[in-house]
Amino acid sequence: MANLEVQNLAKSYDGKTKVLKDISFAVNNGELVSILGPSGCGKTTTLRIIAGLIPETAGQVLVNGKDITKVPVYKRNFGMVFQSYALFPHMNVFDNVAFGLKMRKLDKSAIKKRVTEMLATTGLSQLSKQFPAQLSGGQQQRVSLARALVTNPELLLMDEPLSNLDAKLRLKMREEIRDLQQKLKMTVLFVTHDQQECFAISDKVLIMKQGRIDQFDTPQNIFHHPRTEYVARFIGYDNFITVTAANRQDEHHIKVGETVLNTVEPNQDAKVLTIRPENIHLNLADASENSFTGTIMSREYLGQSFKYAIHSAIGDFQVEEARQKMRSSGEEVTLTLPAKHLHPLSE
Amino acid sequence: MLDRKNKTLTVISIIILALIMLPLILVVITSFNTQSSISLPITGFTLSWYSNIFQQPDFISGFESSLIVALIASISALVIGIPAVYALTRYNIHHAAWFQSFFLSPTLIPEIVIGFALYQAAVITMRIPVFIGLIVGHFLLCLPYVIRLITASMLLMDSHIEEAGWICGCSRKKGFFLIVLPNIKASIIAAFMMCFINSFNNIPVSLFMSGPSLTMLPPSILNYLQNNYDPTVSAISVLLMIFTALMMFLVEKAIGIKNITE
Ligand SMILES: Nc1ncnc2c1ncn2[C@@H]1O[C@H](COP(=O)(O)OP(=O)(O)OP(=O)(O)O)[C@@H](O)[C@H]1O
Ligand SMILES: [Mg+2]
Repeated sequence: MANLEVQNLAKSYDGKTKVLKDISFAVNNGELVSILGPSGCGKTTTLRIIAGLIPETAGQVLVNGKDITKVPVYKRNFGMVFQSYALFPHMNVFDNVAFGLKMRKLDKSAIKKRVTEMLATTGLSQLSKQFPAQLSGGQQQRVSLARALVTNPELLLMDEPLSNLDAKLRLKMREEIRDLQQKLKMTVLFVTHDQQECFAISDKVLIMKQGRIDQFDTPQNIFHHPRTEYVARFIGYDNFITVTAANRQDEHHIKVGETVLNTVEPNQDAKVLTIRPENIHLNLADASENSFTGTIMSREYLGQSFKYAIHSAIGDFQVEEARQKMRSSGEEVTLTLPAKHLHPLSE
Repeated sequence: MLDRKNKTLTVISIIILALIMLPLILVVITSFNTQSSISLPITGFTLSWYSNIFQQPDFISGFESSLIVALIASISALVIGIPAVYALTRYNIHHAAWFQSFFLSPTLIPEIVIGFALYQAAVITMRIPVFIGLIVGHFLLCLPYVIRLITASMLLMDSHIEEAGWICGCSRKKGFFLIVLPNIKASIIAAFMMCFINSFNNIPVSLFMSGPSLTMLPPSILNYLQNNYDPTVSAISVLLMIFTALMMFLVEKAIGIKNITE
C-alpha cells in the first residue's frame, strides 16, 4: 500500500463551470480517509480523477511521491468499489475476482491460490460458482471488494459502497470494511454522504463544499471543532447565533442582546457561535453563566430523547434532552450554553 | 376477472398465430402436391417438385450468391456498426444524435430507391463490379438493424462495468473484447439474424444488381414464378424455411447463451 497526495486538483466538464476548485490533500499509508459532502459537491469526480477514469483539468495526483497524473487507468494498480458494484455479469464470482490477476498474467495455479484465499477472507468460498445476478446486494458488495483487493492495490477507492444496502447490513459491512482495512493495512479513500458512517470508520474526514475542501481533520476534531458553519450544520450543530464585531467584548466574551456569552475558545473574527442541541442544558440548578430564558414552542420524540424548539430573545434554539423529563410547549425554561461547548466560527 | 383476461389473451394469441402459421402450412402441403399448379386440395403425394429445384441452375447459383452476399453484408454491418455504436454511446462525440440518425437513414429510403440509386451511381457511372454493388446495397440494408439493436443494449449496460475492468488492469481495447462484447452478445446475435434474414430475402436491391453471371435467389424465384406456376416454388420455400431455422439454431448454439447455464 502507498500514500496518496492530491495537489491543486481542478476539474471542469464543460470548460466553463468548475466542479472542483483547487483540491489538495494527502492520505498516509494505511489510513482510511472519507470524503463527505452533499450531493453534487464533487466527491465522485475527485475519486474518478484519482482512479484515472476521467482527466483532470489542472493539478497532480501523486502516489508515493511519484506523479501518476498521466498514467492510464489500467496501469495504476488501484482497486475500486462502485456504488452499483459493477461486477462482470458474464463471469461467475471466481472469474470476477480472478480477472485482475489474469490481466497481470499470473499463472493458473497462482491465480487459483490467490483467489481462493481472497474468497475465504471475504466469506465467499461457498459462492464461487454463482453469477452476479444470483447474489444478494451484500454478497455482490463482498465480491466487488474481493475483486478490488485481490491484486494488492496501492490504493483502494470506494464510491458510496454501502448506499445500496439496507440499514442493518450497512452497519455490518462498514465494520467489515474497517476490520479488513486494519488487517491488510490498506490505504483507502471512501466516498459517502452519510455522516455517521464516515465518522465511525475513518481515520480522517474530508468535508467538501461545492468543489472545495471545507475541513480535513480527524473525526474527533471535526466533531468538536467544526471550522465553518457549513461543516457544523453538516455534522449536527443545529444552533447558530450570528455575531458581529460590535458584539465582541473581549477574547472570550460576546454580548448578544442583553446576554453576555462566554466562550472557552478565543473569538476573534467570529461571525457565528454554534452549539450542539444535546449540549444545551435546561433549568440547571446553578444557572448563572451563559444563561437566559426561553419558551418551548414544540416537542419532537427521538426515542432516547426529546427535541425541543425553543424561542428566546437571542433567537430560536434546538435542544435535545434525555427523555426522563418531558416538557410541554408553552413552558418557560432557562437555557444554559456551557462555554466549553459554544464554538466561535469565523466562516 | 384475471382469468377472463387470460382467456381473451389466449384466444387472441391463437388467432394471430394461426394467421401467421396458416399460409406456411398451406405452402408445406402444396409442395407435396402431384398437381402441376399451386392449388388445394391436393390430389396426391410426390417429392418431384423438390428434385426439380435441383434441376434449376438459377436456383443453385442464386442460393450460393444469396448466401455469400448475406453473410458478407451481415458480418461487415456488425464489424462496422458495433464500433460505431460503441463510439457514439461511450465517447463524448459532438453531434452524436446526428450520426445516429445518419446511420439509421437507410430505413427511411424505400429499398427499391437504394437499389436503383446504387445501380445508377455505382454500377453504371462508376463502373464498380455488380457483386461489390450488391454487397454495398445489402450492407446498407443491414446497418440500421445493427445500429438500433446494439445501441439499445449498449445503453442498458452499466458503463461502470467496463470501468471496473480498466481498474483491474485491462486496457480499453482489451476491455472492449473481454467485457463489452460478451455483455451485448444477445443483441449481436439478434442483429445478425435480422441482417441475414433481411439480406437473404431481399428483392428490391438484388433486382437491380444482377448480371449475366450473377442472380440472387429471390429474384430467381420471382423469375421462375413468372414462367411456371408449379409447386417447385412451394418446395423451395419449405427448404428456405428449414434452412433459415437451422442457420439461426446454429448461430445460437455457436455463440449463444451457454455461459449462463454453465
Ligand atoms: N459526466 C459529467 N458531465 C458533466 N457534468 C458532470 C458529470 N459528472 C458530474 N457532473 C457535475 O459535476 C458536479 C459534481 O458531481 P459529482 O458526481 O462529483 O458529485 P457527488 O459529490 O459525487 O454527488 P453524489 O453524492 O450525488 O454522488 C455536479 O454538479 C454534476 O452535475
Ligand atoms: Mg457521487
